[in-house]
Amino acid sequence: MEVAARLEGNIAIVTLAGQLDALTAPEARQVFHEYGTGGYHAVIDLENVTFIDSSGLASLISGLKTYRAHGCEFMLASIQPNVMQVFALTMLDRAFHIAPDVSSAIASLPGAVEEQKA
Amino acid sequence: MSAHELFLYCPATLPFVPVVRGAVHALIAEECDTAALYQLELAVSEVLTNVIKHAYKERNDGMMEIRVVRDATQVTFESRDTGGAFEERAPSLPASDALQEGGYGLFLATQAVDTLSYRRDLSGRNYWTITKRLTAS
Repeated sequence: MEVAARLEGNIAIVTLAGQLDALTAPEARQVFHEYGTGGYHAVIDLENVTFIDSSGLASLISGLKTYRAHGCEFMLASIQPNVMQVFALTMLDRAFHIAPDVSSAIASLPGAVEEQKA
Repeated sequence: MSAHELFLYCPATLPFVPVVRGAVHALIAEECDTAALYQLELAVSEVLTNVIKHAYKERNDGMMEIRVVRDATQVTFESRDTGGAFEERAPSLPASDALQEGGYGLFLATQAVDTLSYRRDLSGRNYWTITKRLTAS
């Protein structure tokens, strides 16, 4: 799985690509936590994540708890329709803030810097 | 072996879980809508991760045997391992507001497929069997 992170003002945008399962979840968890104590909000771009199972969910829950413990948001964006099944089945679509895309996630964050479009 | 049957014998290690998912995907994709295919791969992932983490306790020296059979109406996935016994209990869904990190795996697997069963034979081999009806794409 590919992981990339960039900072835009007080927001850490983490882009994942590939499959988020027991093999790749530890790497994702590490990236989530990298900015979790620095006062950043997080937007996790899942547009190119084709598969998430319970191990992948666990890493996202871990991120959510870390950011919220520091008073920050941890948002998910661009979840693929089939992947959304996992959130719906576990009712975790009620626990996470889920945005249709990264731009709207950023726009909804308190004091956010608007993403500059090329 | 028919054209719609697949056997794998591979190490019970996490890198092989996506390999098995990929093999299942390749065998089934043309006969199945994407949502049902995802559900099957999800159940396969949960079962095999459970075998690796709990039956073998991530020893990395165990093996797993996989058999996938596809007929006109359904897919049957079977795995066999020689790890420790699975402690059977009814899968339940953790409360979403509890933000529990674990405990979703077998619940998801049972919700995603038509049948999911476990048995252990007298020789100490564990068998997981999944069946899922195929729905046309």
